[in-house]
Order: sequence, then structure tokens, then C-alpha cells
Amino acid sequence: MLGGGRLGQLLLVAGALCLSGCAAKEVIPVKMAQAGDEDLDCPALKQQIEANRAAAEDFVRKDRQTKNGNIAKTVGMAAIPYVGVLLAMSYDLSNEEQIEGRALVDRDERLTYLAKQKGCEIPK
Amino acid sequence: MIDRKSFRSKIQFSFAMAALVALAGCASSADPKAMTIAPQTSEKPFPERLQHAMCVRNVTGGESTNPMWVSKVDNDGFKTALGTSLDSAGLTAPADKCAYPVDVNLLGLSQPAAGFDMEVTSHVNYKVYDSSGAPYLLETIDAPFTAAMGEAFLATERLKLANEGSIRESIKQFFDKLRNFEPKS
Repeated sequence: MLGGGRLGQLLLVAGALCLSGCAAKEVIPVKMAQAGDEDLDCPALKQQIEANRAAAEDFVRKDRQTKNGNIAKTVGMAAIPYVGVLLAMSYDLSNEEQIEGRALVDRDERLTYLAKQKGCEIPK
Repeated sequence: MIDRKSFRSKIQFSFAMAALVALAGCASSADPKAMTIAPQTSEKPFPERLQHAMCVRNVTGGESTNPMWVSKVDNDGFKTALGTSLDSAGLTAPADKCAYPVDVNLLGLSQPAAGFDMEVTSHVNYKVYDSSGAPYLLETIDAPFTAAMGEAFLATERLKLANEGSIRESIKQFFDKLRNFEPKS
């Protein structure tokens, strides 16, 4: 069992971690519209649409894992007194996978529009 | 004279309590008023075609706030903030005469788990269409904003301020793009 002194030390460490900042990861989502989009031919559009779709599905899977990890930490916080504070600081609220995944879906919307304009075959 | 050990444990207790208070507090959703921007007279005017010709059609990707979790930005709040900002910039179209509808996809907010100064970055896709339904402007805007420790003591409140500031910055950057965008003829 942790005594008052130990608890204080633990929270001091937590406070120090806070000082250093539990900053979010830097997320750089793919831009919806990019220079040179209009010059892409049908095979290039098809290839990009398919690659983006696969990557977006992967991000959705990883996003679910991250959110489940946060839920597990919340349960841990309740179950393990004192250590919970440290767990709270390890939450991942950067939403990296969600942002990247959604950005790819929007990018595909743009590429699909261009493919339609050019009369290309659009991947199902 | 104060015993050194007792003094140390009192200090530790104070830090422990401060940390708990900082972590506590119920989260509340971002306030639309705090996400709205007001036009500056010195700014470059918007292209004529956009004036009184725009409206916010859809906002997706926002999240409602769970008071036991962290502050978020919801779709209605974002829509109100962007709509009011368009209005005060003279861009809002009369009813049923919207030539340039705007769809917004809030990709997400990158938020810190904790910290004294809290930086939030909003990632938003703005999609402006013309009256034929073709894309007029498609912009992905990443807008960071930091709420300093001095602005709010409670972490939940600081995070809310950072969310609001980040959306304000995002709308500001979107307006700058609208001002300077030249469509290909």
C-alpha cells in the first residue's frame, strides 16, 4: 500500500511529466486537393483511389485500437489507485489515426470526382 | 521549529491536491460564440462573386462532449460559429439563393493528455462548391492554438479554450483562402 509520502512523490513525478508537457503527436493529414491533380490520368487516379481506400481502412482499425487503449487506461485508473494519475497522462488524444483516415476518405472523394470528369473507370 | 520531514510531506500533500484539482472538473463543449471571428476593416475584401452568396450546408466529424471525458467541438457548434462568421463578413446568401454552399468535415482535434500550456490543433476540410455542384475551393486547414496556464486554472477549461481558439484560427485561415483564391477559368 502506498503511504502519503509515496503518493506525494508519485504525484510530483506526474506533475513533472505535466511540466514537460504531454503534448499531442503532430498529425499532418493528406491534403484534399493537391497540385497536379488535374494532370493525373485514369490509371494513376485508379491506383491512388485504391491505395487510399486500403490505407483509410487500416487507419480506422488502428483508431479503434487507440480508443480501446484509452478505455482500458480509464478502467485501470479506477482499479489501481494513485497509479491512475500516471495512466491518465498516457492517454492518446491526438486522434492521429482518425484524422489521417478521414483525410484519405475526403482525398478519395476529390480523386473520384476527377475520375468521373475524365470518364475513367472508378474502382468499386 | 518545523520538522523537515513533516514540512516535506506537507509540501507533497499540497502538490498532490493541486494536481488532483487540476485534473478534476467536468468537461463542457466548445462555445460557438468563442469560435466565431469578426472581420477586421484592414483586411482584403472578399471576391465579389462570394459576397452574399455563401451558406454552410453540412458539418460532419464533430463530437459531442462527455462531461466525464474531455471537451470537444460538436457539429452544431461549428456550424453556428462558421455561419455567424460568414454573416458578419457579409458572405451569407439570402434564403434559397446560396450559390456557394460550404461543406465542412472536422477531421479531428489533436489534443494533449495533460500539461500546463495546452496546444490543440484542429484539422478541418472545407469544401466550397459552385452553383453547378463542381468544387470551387477544397482546403485542408491545420490550425494550432495554445491556451496558457494563466488563462484558466482547470485543465478541462484550458482544453476548451484551446479547442475554441483552434477553430477560430481555422475559420480565419479559411477566410484568408477565400479572399485570395483565384479559380482557374
